[in-house]
Amino acid sequence: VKTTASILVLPNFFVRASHGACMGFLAGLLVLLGVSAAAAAPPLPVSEGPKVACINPGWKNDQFWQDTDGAMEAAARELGVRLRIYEAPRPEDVIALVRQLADSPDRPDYILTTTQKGARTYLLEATEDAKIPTFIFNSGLLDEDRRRVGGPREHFKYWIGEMLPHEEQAGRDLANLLVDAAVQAKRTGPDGRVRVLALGGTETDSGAQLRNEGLKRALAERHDAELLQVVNAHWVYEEARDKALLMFRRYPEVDVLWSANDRMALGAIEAMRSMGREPGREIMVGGMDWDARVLSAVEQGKMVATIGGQILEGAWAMVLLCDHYHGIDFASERVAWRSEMLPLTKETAGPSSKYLGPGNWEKLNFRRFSKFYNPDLKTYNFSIKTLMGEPGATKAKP
Amino acid sequence: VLVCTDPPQLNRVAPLFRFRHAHPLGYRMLGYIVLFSSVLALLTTAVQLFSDYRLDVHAINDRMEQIERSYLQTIANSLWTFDEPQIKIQIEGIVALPDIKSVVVDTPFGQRYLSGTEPQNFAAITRSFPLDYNDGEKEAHLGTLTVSASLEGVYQRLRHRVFLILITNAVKNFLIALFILFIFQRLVTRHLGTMAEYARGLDLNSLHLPLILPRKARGKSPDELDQVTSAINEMRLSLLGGMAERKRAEEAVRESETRFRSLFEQAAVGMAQVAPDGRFMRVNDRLCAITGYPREKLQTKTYQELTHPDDMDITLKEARRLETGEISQHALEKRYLRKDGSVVWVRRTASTIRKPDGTLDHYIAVIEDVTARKLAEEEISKLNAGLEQRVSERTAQLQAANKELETFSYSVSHDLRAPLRSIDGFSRILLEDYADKLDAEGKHYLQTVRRASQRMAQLIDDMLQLSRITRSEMRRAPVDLSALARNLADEVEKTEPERCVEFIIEPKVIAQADAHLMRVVLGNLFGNAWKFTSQQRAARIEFGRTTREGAPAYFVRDNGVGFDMAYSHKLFGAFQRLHTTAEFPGTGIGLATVQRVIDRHGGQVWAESEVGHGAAFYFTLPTN
Repeated sequence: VKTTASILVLPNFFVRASHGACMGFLAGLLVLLGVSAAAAAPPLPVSEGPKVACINPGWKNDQFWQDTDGAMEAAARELGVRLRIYEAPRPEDVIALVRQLADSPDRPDYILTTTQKGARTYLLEATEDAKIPTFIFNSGLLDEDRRRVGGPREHFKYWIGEMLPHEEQAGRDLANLLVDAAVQAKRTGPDGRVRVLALGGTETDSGAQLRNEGLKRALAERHDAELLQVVNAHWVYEEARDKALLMFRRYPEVDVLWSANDRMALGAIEAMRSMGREPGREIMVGGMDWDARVLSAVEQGKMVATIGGQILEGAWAMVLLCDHYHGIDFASERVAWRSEMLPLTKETAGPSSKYLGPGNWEKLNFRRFSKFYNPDLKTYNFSIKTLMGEPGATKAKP
Repeated sequence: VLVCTDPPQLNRVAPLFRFRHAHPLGYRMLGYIVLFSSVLALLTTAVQLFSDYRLDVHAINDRMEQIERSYLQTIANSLWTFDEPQIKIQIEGIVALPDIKSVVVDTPFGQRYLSGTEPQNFAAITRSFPLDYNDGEKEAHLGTLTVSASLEGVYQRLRHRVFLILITNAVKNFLIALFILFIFQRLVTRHLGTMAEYARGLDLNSLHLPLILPRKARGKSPDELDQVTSAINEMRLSLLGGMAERKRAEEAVRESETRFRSLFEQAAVGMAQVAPDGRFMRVNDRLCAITGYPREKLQTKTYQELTHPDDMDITLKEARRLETGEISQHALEKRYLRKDGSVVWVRRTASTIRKPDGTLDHYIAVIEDVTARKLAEEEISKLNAGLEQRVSERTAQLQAANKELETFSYSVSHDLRAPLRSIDGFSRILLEDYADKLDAEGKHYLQTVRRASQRMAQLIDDMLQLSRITRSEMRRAPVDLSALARNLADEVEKTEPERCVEFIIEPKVIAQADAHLMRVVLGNLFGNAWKFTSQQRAARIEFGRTTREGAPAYFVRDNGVGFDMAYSHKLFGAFQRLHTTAEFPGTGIGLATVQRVIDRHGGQVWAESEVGHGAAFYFTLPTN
């Protein structure tokens, strides 16, 4: 159930308010209707959780953020978190929004946001001023900022934690998968080396930088591959399509196309098609983010893999903030969390697709990861495999 | 043509014509200034435009280099990363530069990015730059950047500048020309008009009015107009002065003519103007009186008709010399035949008056009647002839008397010397052979006899010398008096070697004289000096030359006893002595001999002295 409402006091922003527990009433209703999870432990009643304002970049048409929001909203509903999602396309919008939220009657208990698009530390300064505990996810500080202000709860006391994906590892893993696939398909140059082209994201995003570093590190470690060129396409499908067209002209000998996200991978596949080249056979293509639209391509073998899992970071953050609100501080384990990123290949893409995408998130049981709702739980285990594959990972069908 | 056929045009150009007629100099000056400044403006404009064109083209080339420096790497980088928006921004940025009309990026893959118009649509400067990528690891040629700049903007600016420069220059030149014309008119032309007006009105009656220009005085630095004005005024004053001078000269001529006429007419000598053929053109009364002809008659005659036949040749010869210019005037004493046939001696002085071309115009003759003088001269000649006869007779008489006197002197001296020698000789024998028989008184008498006889012999010798000197032949020749004096000094020193006498002899004193007689003169004078300085401990005798009344004079000076100048008139008389024989021996003939010799040389001799302070004897020797 998704409720969307406008906030009149915040006219400049597109607000999607998802009262995941509107509050416990809806959850209770769901329980009564038999939709609640069929967990092993007897389920605790939904408690009134914290008010959380999530500010994301507001890419409404971006599948990644749609999935992230979907999983987050599903988790919020399950955990009793009063979540409102705000979209602020520019860093200054984020800061202005924080200031407005601080003074509004509906002042949130937590702010969940990302430092994407070069917001740097201004956002944290704003939340510090507003004295609103802030949790960062998806995209963190640049290294230079991190060296300056340290991690959560160091320079900024209200920056209580962060959960960031293993971007570099993901980039590295994708590169290895693609090169292996090319080698296996005997797509190599005369010297036996696999020739790799890469589509990067926005060069100022730390995520893009880390993924590129992972790529370069992987190829540096291997002797059977060479990186022809990395071209930034700013995460955008069309730009990736156009640039890929030119890249393929410049490097007709290319064996692998590594893409920093799935959308750009789809753009490259479109370019290949227009040039009459066959993805998955002539050129091994791989992306990231578990974009629901690429799962079929992976399944069909047009793409070697998509690496993702960070779309669950919002949901994991709901768990941590919920526990924090109820007095269970995740700092007892760590304040800087790293989310797991796993590849979906031709083999795994099909089964996973039933949990991904709109309408599927509700199938997942997030409450089982909460220490508040599971007093026996000693350590957090934000495992995708646990979430999707293991018994009790999904809720019982109503 | 304009005046006749096109009244409207006439109206327009009429002021110009009026100005041209009124101020032709200013009009020409205006024309030349406008012409010259226009040509100059065209030249400078051409130079400026050429320079501007080069600068503009240079600027375009600079811009190309700037594009190469500023854009090439960025475009190459954008091309490398396929950043098309950035490529477009860059090439649009280049097209926005002045004069750049087209920018094309071509890649080897057939991509083409064009900003601006197609390059072939305009005249252009086109440059192509290779787009190469090199990040240290990878290196690639990515394409070519072709930039085309249109020259249309350059030409447009040049056209605009041409128009602007020509218009401004035309206006400037015209205004400057007008200004110069105004200044010229103000400073020069109007004053020239004033001068012309003044010159036109200038006549003899208005010469006293000066030319004054209506302008401020220039003080110490007069300009050309001042100088011209000053020159005109000076000319005016000069004319005034000239006229006055001319008037004075005419009056002077008139007066001179009057004087000449009266001089001519009333002269005490005869005067005539004689034509080249000898005809008397004009004669005065005195000439009429000399010739005995009345004026009218005489003016019909020639001088040849009046000339005595015996004097005709010399007269014609002299006339020819005058006529040919060999001589400019001559004087001739000749005879005229008077009307009555009598002869009159005249002294005729003639000179020539010539025309400007040098040919003879007429003679001026002054004729003086010298008949009386001629007669007197003849009389004098006769008297002189008688006188010479008498002189010859007297000379012969004198020579005879001299001969007799000489014979007498000779015989006297010889005849007197013989008994004197006997007296002296026998007296000596008496003293030598009969000394024992003579008492002291006798010896004294005998010695007195001897001294007297010896003195007499000396007197006779001196007289004979004086006589010889008077009669001896005299030969003048250059004589080294200094050497002679030195020789004589040596001789006198030998007579008394024990004396200490200083001789000061001026060297190289040469005189034109008889050497033998000069030796006599200097010998006497040195002898005297030696004698009269005998009592002087530090005696000094000088010989030298000095100047008296512009002529050389020679002297012998000593620091001896001197004499009283009151008796100087006696000095040169024979046998005259100012000292006793006991004081200083001598006969008194010496200075007389000196005077005789100097007289024979035509010179003078004199003495200057003071008692006790020496004496100086001077003599002169005229050269002729």
